[in-house]
Formats: sequence, structure tokens, C-alpha cells
Amino acid sequence: MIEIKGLKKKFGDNQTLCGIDLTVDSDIIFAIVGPDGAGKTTLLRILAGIMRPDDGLINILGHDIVKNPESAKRYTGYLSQRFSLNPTLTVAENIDFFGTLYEVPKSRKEDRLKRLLEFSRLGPFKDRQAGKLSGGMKQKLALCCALIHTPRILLLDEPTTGVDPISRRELWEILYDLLAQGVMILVSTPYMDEAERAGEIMMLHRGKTLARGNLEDLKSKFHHKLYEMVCDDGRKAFEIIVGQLGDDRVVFFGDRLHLALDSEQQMLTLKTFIADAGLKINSLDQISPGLEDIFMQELLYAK
Amino acid sequence: MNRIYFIAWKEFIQLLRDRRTLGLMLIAPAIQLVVFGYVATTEVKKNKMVVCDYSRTPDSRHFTDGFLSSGYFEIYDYVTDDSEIDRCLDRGKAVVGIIIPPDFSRNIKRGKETSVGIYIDGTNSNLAMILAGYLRMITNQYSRKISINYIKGLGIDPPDLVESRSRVWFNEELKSVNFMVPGVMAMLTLMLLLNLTALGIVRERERGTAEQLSVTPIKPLELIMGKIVPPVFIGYLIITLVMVVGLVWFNIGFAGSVLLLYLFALFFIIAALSAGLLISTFSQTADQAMWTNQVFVIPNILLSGFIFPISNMPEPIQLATYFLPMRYFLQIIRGIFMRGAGFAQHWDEALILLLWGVVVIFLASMRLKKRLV
Repeated sequence: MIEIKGLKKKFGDNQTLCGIDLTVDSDIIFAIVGPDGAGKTTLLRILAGIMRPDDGLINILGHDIVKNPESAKRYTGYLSQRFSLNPTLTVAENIDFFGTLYEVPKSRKEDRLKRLLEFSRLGPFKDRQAGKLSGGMKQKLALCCALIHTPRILLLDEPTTGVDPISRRELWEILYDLLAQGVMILVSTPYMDEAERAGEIMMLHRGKTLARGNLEDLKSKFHHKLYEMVCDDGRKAFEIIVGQLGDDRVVFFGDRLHLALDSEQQMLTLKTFIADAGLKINSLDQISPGLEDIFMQELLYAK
Repeated sequence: MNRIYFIAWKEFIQLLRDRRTLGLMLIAPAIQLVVFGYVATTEVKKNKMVVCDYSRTPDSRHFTDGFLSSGYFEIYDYVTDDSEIDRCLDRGKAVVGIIIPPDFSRNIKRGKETSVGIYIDGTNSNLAMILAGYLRMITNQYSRKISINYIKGLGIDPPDLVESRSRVWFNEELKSVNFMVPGVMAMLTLMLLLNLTALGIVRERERGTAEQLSVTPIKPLELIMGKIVPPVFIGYLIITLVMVVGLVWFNIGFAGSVLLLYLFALFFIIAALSAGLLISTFSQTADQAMWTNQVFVIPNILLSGFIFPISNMPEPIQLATYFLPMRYFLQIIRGIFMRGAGFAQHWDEALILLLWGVVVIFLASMRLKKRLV
């Protein structure tokens, strides 16, 4: 239903997207994950029809949106990264306003409004001005506004950035509900743990696709042995490892270190180095990789 | 059409709910009206005068009385030494000092020329100019009376001299408020509409609401139309408000047709809106828009003839004033207010205003297409 080929976009000297290819053809939650500046927002904005790409083909539900950016707008809902509704309008007025802009017939609009308020649990706040809502509620309201015209595809740009953990969980529950109703969801996020909730994941880095697939696919592509190490002086251990293997094999996770190694032999050699430096290793276990480990490995391969 | 109406409705609601801005929008005109109606008056009355009369004769007394009876001057003090005049002027106690020489009366009696010293505080050059005019006028009247009396004393009937009897038309009492109220009307309309459109659009862009709007199927033209409707109403509201206060409170005259005023006002409103739209395309932030508005508004206020007569300006500046929409609107409304001018007298200025608006709207929409978001 979404088909992207060779998508390119440049801002000044900065090649934000350098040839993205992507096909999403089933109803899933598709996560685009990557650090700030990876090109996530640019990609979503192009799909939403508010930015023209420099090159490439995009087909959304049979509409060529490079040729005609307006053609798919009725079937897509887009939620921008920051809260962007009218703060002086109430919850209900905001939803109604977008309903009118999308030309939803009046009778359907009222019915839809009722259902959206119910399902976002914003019903009790429907007469409150949007500017006076909490962060999580604002995000839910924005989502309702993007859903008033029953889009087939929902584009969400970092919907959980700056949202508290409880609201974040609620938001994901809503997304699963929507998925069950047959809405395809493209969601961008800088948080790896969050991307793990999605059915399929695309890792984006500096405008290039690093890897793509569901969580299992991605894990199976992890060719290193991953070790988690806890050390008394983690900082010093980190320096020793970097001295031995370079800085792309080791990452801090809180007070733990994740080491992506080629073999058990390499681990044992490293262990003696650390012990020789007089550092005490509290634990060292092989673990299964998370998305962040995979991302680091893919970065390494990309080099 | 429905969508335009809805955008306009949303703008109205936003405006009404933002009580503080709304209040400021209504208080500002009130303050400006008071300032320009009461304070910024160009009539000068009861200016303090110090007299140093070395002559001390009925003649010199008669001479100074001429100033007092005009109503333009009143005595601050009679002094005995001319150095005290300096002191009074230095301290700002008086704005005019007069020294009558000891031989004043004697010279008059002998039919010889006599001169009096007049000092004017030039700190406020406008006032000084006006006062100098009054002083000259009153002095001339006095010397004429002397000549006539002299001729009569010779037993001859005095000849009929040319006497200028000027009569001021259209603003017979030369009340500056009559002149100021139309100016305030034009100024406020311009300032308010510029802010409403330029800031309104830039703020939406800043807040990201413009982006959320642009993902909907709404066309940029519909969006702009919707955003323009409320300012048009506000513009008419301000014009009506200023007019009512002017008529009821300041008792100014209104000679022309209200309907014609409203018709021509539309052209000015369009010009102001188009300027706001254009400014919005050049501004990334509301702050920038605000300052750019100032850059546009200030020349309009200073050079449109609102405060300084255009005919007194240097030639290049006079030419520049042809680009200021407020210049034309000011001429139109002053004409309608004071002269009761009709369509025939002002259609050309109205046409220029309309052209101005159309050209600027065209420029703005060329740029807006590219960067609404």
C-alpha cells in the first residue's frame, strides 16, 4: 500500500534522505527508528504530502504523490512532532475543525467525534481548551484530529517524545486498537525500546536504511556474540576495551557494558586484559541482543 | 466555501477567547484618541509672556494689551530688567519675552520708527513658528492703528487699506481634533490589521499549526481567505469606533457620507491586509514580523500627512509618500469628514489604494505558495 523507490531529499548541502526504498503492504505498525537527524521527520513529511522530494517514486494506495501530493491526503492522517493544535479551541472544537477541513459529512462527523472521544478517553475533557491539557492528553487529542476522517494510513512523527510513561503506554494501546480496525501505522521514534513494540522496524541513519525487518529477523542478523559486563570501574574498563577493539564494539547501558565480540576466545583475552589492569569484573554473561545492539552492529557494518 | 467559513469561525473564536489581546486591541484606540484628541493639539493658547516695559506709558500698556486680548498670550510677570527675561525663558517659565524700549512712546508720538525686542523660546520649533506668526500679526495690527490715528490727526480721512479677512473653510474653528480623528482612524486600522494578519500567520507557522493544516486537503488560498475575513471585520469595527467617539465625544463634524467612507475603507483594509500577508512571508518568527510591521507602519504615520504636512517635506520624501497607502486613505477620509467630499473627488485615490493592495497581494501569494508552512 506504500511503495517508495529511490527517495532523495537534500537541504542545502545536507543530503537528508539518500535513496530510501521501502514497501509496506500489509496492515502493521511500522516503526522508523533512528537518532535525531536520521531523516525520520523528512520521510514522514514527504509521505504526508507537505514536502516535495528531490527524486524518487512514492505510491500510496495507488496514488502517485510525487506527481500529485494532494491525491492521498484524504486517506492519510499525519501527526507532527510537536503539539500543533489551536490552544484556545476546546477538545471537541479542535476535532470538529479538522473534520470540516477533511470534509467529513456532518452526520458522520458527530458519530465519529463521539467514538474518538470515547476511545481516547478524552470524553470528560471535551469542553476544555486544548492549551490547558496535559502533555499526554494533548498528544491523544492530536491523534483524534488526525483520525477524524478515518484514514487508511496513519503517519506519526515521534508521538511519544516528551510524553510520560503511562500516557505512552495508553498511546500504544490506542495504536494497537487502530491496527485491529485496519489502519496501517507508520511511526517514527528515537527510542529503540519503543520500536520493539512495532510489527516491523526500519533503522534509519543519516538518510540511509541500515536494516529492516521484524524484531526476530533483525535479531537473527546479529552475527556477533553479545556480552553484558558489570565492572567496579566501568569507565576504566570501557577505555581498556576501546584501546583493544576500537570504540564501535562497546556501548554503555546504564552501569553495564555491552560488548559485541567475534568469538568466545576474544572475550577471554579481553577478560585477562581487564583483570591485569586490576579491575574487578562482577559479572559477565552472554545475552540476546536488543534493538540498540543491533543498531550499533549495523552501524559498524555500514562503515 | 464551508472550509473558508470554518477557518474564519476558528479565528474569531481564538480572538474572542484571548481576552488580554482583545482588551489591548480596544484600549489602544481609546488611548490614541485621547492622546491625539486632547494632547497633540496644534492650537496654542495662553502662552506665558514676560514683559519688560522700560517705557511705562499708556502707549506701551496699550501695546501689550493687544497681545493679551488675542487670547494667545497671558502675562507670566512684568519685570524691570531685561536680564530677567533671559532667566524666565531659561527656566521655561515663559515662552515669549518682550522688551519695550524707554523711547517707545516718544518715538510714536514723533512719528518715528520704533522697535520692540521679542524673544521666543525655540525649543519647540513648531510652537515657536506659530507664536512668531501671532506676534507679527498683533504687532502689525498695532502699528496700523497708529498710522490710521496719525493720518486722522492730520485731518485727513484715512485711505482704505488692504485688509486681509481670511476665513478658514472646512475646519472653521481650526480645531486640531477635527484633523486628528481621521488620522487616528487610519493609523489604528493600519497597525491593527497589519498585526492581525502578519502575526496571525507567522504565529501559526511558529506553533506548527500551519503544518497540521497543510496535511489536510485545504487549499492555501482557502486558508488565507479564511484568515483574512476576521481582520476585515475588526478593521470596520475600529473605524466605526473611532468615528463614533469622534462624533459623540469630540463633537467633530462629519460632512460626508458614511457609506462612501465604508466603501473606500474596504480598499484601505485590503491594502493593509496585503501588506501583512507580504510581511508574513518574510518573517520566520512573530518577533520578526512585529518589527517588520514597525518598519512599515512608522513611515506611514510620519510621512502620510497625518502629523507633518507633506508639502513641507523635502522633494525626494514627497515622492516616497506616493508609495504609502495611508497617505491616500488619509486624504480620502479627511475629505469625507471635513469637506463632505463625494466619490467624484476621491475615486482616483481609492483606485490607487486598490491597485496597491492587488499588487501586494499578488506578490504575497507568489511567496506564500512556496512557504505557508
